[in-house]
Amino acid sequence: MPDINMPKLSDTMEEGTIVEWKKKSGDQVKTGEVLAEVESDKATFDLEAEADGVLQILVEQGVPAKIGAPIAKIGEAGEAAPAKQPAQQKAAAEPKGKEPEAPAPKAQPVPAPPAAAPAPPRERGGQQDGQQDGIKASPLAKRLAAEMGIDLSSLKGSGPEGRIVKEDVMAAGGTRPAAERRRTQPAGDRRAGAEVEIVEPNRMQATIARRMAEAKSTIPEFQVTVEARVDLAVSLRQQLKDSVPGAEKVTMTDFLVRACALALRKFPEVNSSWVEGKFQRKRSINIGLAVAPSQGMGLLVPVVHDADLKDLIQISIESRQVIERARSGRPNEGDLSGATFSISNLGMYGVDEFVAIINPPEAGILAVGAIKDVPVVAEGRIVPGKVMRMTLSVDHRVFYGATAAQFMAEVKRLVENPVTLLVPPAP
Amino acid sequence: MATATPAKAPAASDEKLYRVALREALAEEMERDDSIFLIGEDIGIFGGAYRVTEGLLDRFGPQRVVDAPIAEEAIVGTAIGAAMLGLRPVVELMTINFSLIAYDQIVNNAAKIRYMFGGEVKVPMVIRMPGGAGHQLSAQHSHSFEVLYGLIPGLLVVAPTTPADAKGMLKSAIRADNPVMFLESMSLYNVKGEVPAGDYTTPLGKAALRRTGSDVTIVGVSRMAVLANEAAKQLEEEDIDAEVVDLRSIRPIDWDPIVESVRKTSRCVVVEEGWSTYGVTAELAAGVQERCFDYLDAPIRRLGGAQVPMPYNQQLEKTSIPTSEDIKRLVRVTLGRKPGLS
Repeated sequence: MPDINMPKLSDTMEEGTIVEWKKKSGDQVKTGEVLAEVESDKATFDLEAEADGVLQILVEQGVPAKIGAPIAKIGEAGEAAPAKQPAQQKAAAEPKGKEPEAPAPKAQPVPAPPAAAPAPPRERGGQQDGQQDGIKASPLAKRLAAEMGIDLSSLKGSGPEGRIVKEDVMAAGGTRPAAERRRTQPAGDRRAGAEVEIVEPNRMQATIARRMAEAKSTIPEFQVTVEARVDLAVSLRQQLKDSVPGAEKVTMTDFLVRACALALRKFPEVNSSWVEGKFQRKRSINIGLAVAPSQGMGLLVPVVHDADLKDLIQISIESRQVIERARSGRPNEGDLSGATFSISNLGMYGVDEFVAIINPPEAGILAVGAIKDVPVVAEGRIVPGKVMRMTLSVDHRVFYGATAAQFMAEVKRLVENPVTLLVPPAP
Repeated sequence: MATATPAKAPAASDEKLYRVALREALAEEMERDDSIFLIGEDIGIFGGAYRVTEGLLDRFGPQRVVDAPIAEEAIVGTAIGAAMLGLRPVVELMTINFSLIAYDQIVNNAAKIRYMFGGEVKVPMVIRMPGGAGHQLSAQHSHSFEVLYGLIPGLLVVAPTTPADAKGMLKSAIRADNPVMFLESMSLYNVKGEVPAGDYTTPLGKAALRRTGSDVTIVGVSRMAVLANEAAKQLEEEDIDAEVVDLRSIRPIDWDPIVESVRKTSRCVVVEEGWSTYGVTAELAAGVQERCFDYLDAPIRRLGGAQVPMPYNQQLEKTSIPTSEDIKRLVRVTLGRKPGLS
């Protein structure tokens, strides 16, 4: 009877919670079938069966479990709970015809109506409605999701029978329907008081709050800002998008991932951590990308592993995939862990520059602002140019001002001479 | 805007019973047009089984208020012939249950003659008949047969639910040049309501928006529109804002206000007293689905009477007829609300 344990899905995950069991104890399950939805501190993901057999749930939904703790078992049909049938006995021939203690009935018989005559509202229409590609959503929700570009598979239905309804899509899109506003802010004396609404953070938000406060209060940090000319990078990006297969979606962040990876190779002290009074130099260069989740408030840091060993196009493709997986709530193992350095790019929101908080145990994070058209002085003349400001936050325990400045000069040099970013990675 | 509303009431109006409003419509129309005559069982000397025609024999004489033998097929056949020759008969069938005896006349003659004669004759007649259950009249005398007439091309089928509509729509029915099935409700005869003074008509073929709301559209057929309104009022307490459409016209169905409403609320519950399987609500649900599919946030829910011959036993009969509680329950299901939770 193999155990199913609470998996570890990120570096910071200490425990997880079953949001919903998709199967019941006693259900026959097959390898690959989704058993439950599990919420970690970073994301919600599907827990799949790794063996065929009969499911036995050990941890009910809503109850947190430490990573590694058994949360369910998959046994053979007819196999009873281990407490009732020790392993030694199991080695003997399975007693034929022994049924499980209390097998969940396949289908609940419809209870007889209490009244002698059938009551009128017994319509059971719409069992198959809205079921498409395994996602149960109302026609309206589907239409709105398509219009708003929201992936229905990333949503959880709040409607009857778990159906995704309009409100779920609107909430994901950041807008709430008028009716909802009316309900939460009733006028007059109906629901007086409560100036402040108390909102429970989800696990991700609680983790962010704890870790950011810890980082800010324990890391002696300083910042170094540089401004880079990015005219060449912008035009190179356009050329790549136009004419290189696979690079159609290359972003400025991808350029920066490559640039930082190269700079980190040159300055291994930046790719380090301060752990219990010692430096930890890391062999791998794994770059985390701070992104907003596709729904609700929060922060995800999907990771491009071994960025120094990958070329720009590879980085572009991989970063897009890893971000998509993280946003859909179905990250692969390692997608959200192992970063040695991070980049947070708010340029698309038009910010000039900003300071990011270090995500320990990393020692640095690069905060990137928008590309702006400005007058620049080149060879003694004022010409139009494109500039971008980048601010590095530094853990001063790990490296120092001069290193930070040299590191940023290197990043700036690479970004301003973007052809260097196209050079294939050295082995 | 496509939403239909009852004819604007003139300044003066009066509280009147549904049955009285009907009587006024008959009398006023008979005064106006002497080609109109009434025919039915016990409508003269007795004043009508439900007292709608009381006093009209004295007022208009036996030529225009005809007490007929107990022979529904003959009554309707007589009226069809009279209508073909230029009169405007208004038939009263004691209840819709007895119309089954005249069904062949209605379906094969009244509804088809104008068409089969190439438009050379018309059949301007009204058949008034009450339906519905709730009076311990048992299995044979408690039908809601809206659907039996709603499915016949060539008929106009209406079911007014307020005294004002009863009067205005009966006048329109009498003035119409095609056969109108005028479906009254036994349970509504004693309902009081504002009736505009003077001569007015309410158009046939139009639904009425009884109440505006944003969460769900309830479409009620005949008396169920009244219950839908009651349910909607009570649902306010649960913070559910329901819109109510009174169908009024069963044939043709006035889709515009229903579609407009459902596209706004994105949810729809349809209610009739008759059986919902193959019922008017089945037609409504299908039509709404065709017209509003991409606007629906929940399956359309149907509510109708229990699928049994109506029990005589009082408690069983009550259980078999949709109530406002049933409507509320179905609205909650549609909205995904738990009962009793606000």
